[in-house]
Amino acid sequence: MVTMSDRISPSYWSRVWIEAMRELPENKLSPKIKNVWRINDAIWIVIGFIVCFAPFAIVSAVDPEETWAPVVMAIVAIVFAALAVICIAVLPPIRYVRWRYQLSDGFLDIAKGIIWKKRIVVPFIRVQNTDSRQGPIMRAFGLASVTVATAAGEHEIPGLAMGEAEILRDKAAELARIAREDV
Amino acid sequence: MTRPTTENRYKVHSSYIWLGSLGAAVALLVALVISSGGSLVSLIAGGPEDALVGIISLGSVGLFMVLTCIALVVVRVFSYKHLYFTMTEDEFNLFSGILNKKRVHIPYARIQSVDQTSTLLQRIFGVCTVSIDTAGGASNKAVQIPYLTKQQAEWLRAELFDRKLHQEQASAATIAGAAYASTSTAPSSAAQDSAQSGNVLDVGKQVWDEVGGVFAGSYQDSTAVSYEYGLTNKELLLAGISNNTVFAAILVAIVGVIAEVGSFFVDENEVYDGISSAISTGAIISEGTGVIIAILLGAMLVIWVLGAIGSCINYGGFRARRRGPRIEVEHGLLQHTLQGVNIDRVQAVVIKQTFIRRLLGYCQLSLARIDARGDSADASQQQQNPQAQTGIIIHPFLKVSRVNEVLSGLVPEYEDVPQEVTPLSPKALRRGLIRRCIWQGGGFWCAISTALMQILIHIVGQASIHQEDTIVLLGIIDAVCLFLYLLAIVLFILDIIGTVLWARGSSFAYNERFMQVTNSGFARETMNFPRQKIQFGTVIENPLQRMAKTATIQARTAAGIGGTSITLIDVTHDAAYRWLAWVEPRHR
Repeated sequence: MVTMSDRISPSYWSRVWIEAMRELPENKLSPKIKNVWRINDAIWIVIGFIVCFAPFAIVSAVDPEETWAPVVMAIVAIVFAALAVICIAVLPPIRYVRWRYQLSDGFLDIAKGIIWKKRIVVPFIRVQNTDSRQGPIMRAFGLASVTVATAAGEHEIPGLAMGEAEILRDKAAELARIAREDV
Repeated sequence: MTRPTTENRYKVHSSYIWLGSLGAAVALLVALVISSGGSLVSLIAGGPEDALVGIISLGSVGLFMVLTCIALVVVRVFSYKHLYFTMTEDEFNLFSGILNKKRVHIPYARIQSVDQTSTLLQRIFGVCTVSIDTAGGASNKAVQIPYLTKQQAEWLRAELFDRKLHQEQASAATIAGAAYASTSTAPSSAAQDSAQSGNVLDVGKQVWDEVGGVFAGSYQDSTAVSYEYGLTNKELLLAGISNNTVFAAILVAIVGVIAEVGSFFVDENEVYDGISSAISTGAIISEGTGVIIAILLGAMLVIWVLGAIGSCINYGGFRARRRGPRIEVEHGLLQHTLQGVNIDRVQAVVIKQTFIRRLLGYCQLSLARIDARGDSADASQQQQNPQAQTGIIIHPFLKVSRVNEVLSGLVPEYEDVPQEVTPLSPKALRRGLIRRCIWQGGGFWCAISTALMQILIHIVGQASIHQEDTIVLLGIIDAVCLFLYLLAIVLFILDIIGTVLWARGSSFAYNERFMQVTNSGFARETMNFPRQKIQFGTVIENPLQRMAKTATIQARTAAGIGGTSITLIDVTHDAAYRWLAWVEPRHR
């Protein structure tokens, strides 16, 4: 129950502000991004696995009597299997749920992160340039990412449908141009 | 777009040819002397045939050198002929290159700052290197124009800033909303009394100013100086002796004292053990360490004195002034540097106190700006800017009570700093103690690793055959460990004190236009920066912070090379999000 005196007090309004801020940004990435992340991570895990596994495999092939090499091989295999399960099955859905963005009139609002939750506000006045990028995996899924660069670092919104990414890029560029100011 | 005509081509000074090749020639000479040392020796030591060979080789080497020098000068002459700059209506152009022509364009509006530096040799001849910084992309290179006479340099700087101002006024509509609308309202009456303060080394500067250097010429800047100050004797001296090496020296002294005390304890212990050989070993060790420590301390003292003299000379002739919309700082008795930046390119005002300065009640004032990596058309000029990370130091040693006075004189735009500070969350102290004393605590990890090492060595020692030697060795190792434990305890206590100071003293504040972040501890750093200069704001929370209802705030500005993050850990969750709402641009 909100009384009249509550409405007058400034702390009430700051509370309203905070609650409004706590609301996550509206837009989600394309659900296909989960598969992009999976494939990307899978490639890196396979490369890492080969690099770590091969020397011991060679050792045990050259000298079959060596007992420690198979043990190390087993450990490496288990570690990488665990890593694969985490990166392919566990993380992508959580990452997807946590990744939100919103383009307001004056600023870009990003919320992301699983353990370290980050909330980033990038005013468009500060945006130097925007571009859309597409890697081979993303292209296969018909996705693109939009990068918004300021004078001190850039932010990437990955995994947007191609048309949407272009609209977003142009909108960001438009808003940045309207609010143009120097560093 | 006007096309550059021959009338407004400006050339650099002709000392570019010979002064520039002088350095290279000297380097060549040194290399040749070293390489021909062998033949010289054979000339002296050997018989008549050897002498002949030696003379021939020496002669050829000399000929080679002369030829190289001539080639060098010829190249220099050609590159001098092709090195010039022009100033069109809206951009500055620097042309260089003999075969590969290079043309650098700088629109006046993109100029961040104009600095001029001169080495001792250059200073004698009254020439200097002007570098123009732009915030150009990731590599962020400054454009350098070598060997301009002082007169040319001053004229160029004034001209560049002037044209920049005109261009901005022409397009005033776009920057009408800028916070720095009234830059010409700097107080001028308060300026004069503090301008009187000077120091002994200012005499050196006056001499330089009067003698000027061979080709210096003179140029009078038309824009009035509204505020100017130098350093007093006391400030100069204290700035010199309290530079960072003094802190290192004191640390070494403390460690030395602890070591002495530690070795004293060692002696006691070994008496207790009752092994005579160990006593003598211990005594020898403590004597040896005493000598080593004395030598170390002596060396530190010498380094410190040299460093102090060096920084006194570096700050000699220090002058900071406000001229219209720009701030100029010059210093250096032998190697002269003049840094100039426009007020709207200042990213932040930083008030920094090292521990020593804090004890004395002084601080260092600096302006953060977008720094550039030095890029030079002239190889001999290529040197790392020592102040790259600290921006422009506008006062190396200022009494805390005078900070407001100096700031309101030099950068009146920053007078309106927020007053209402938000302290850290009450949970910050507990979390800080855990974070800084345990996870990142040097003392804690020192103790743990020492304990592990001691246990391991003892296990190995027990396993080996019991011998006198092993016991003696273990005794020595125990003594070393004891010393390390003591060190760990001292570090741990320092960590705790630092954390308490951090939790009590850190805060942030913001108002309409400015934000202020203070990170305290033994040292203390306060940053004031306008809301306009925040590139983006971030609030970060980890699960533990979520439990404690705290969050980390991070404001990113473009200062330094590639940007600077200003971070404050563990403010309350609500305050963090209120701040993030403040970062959002408001609708006008």
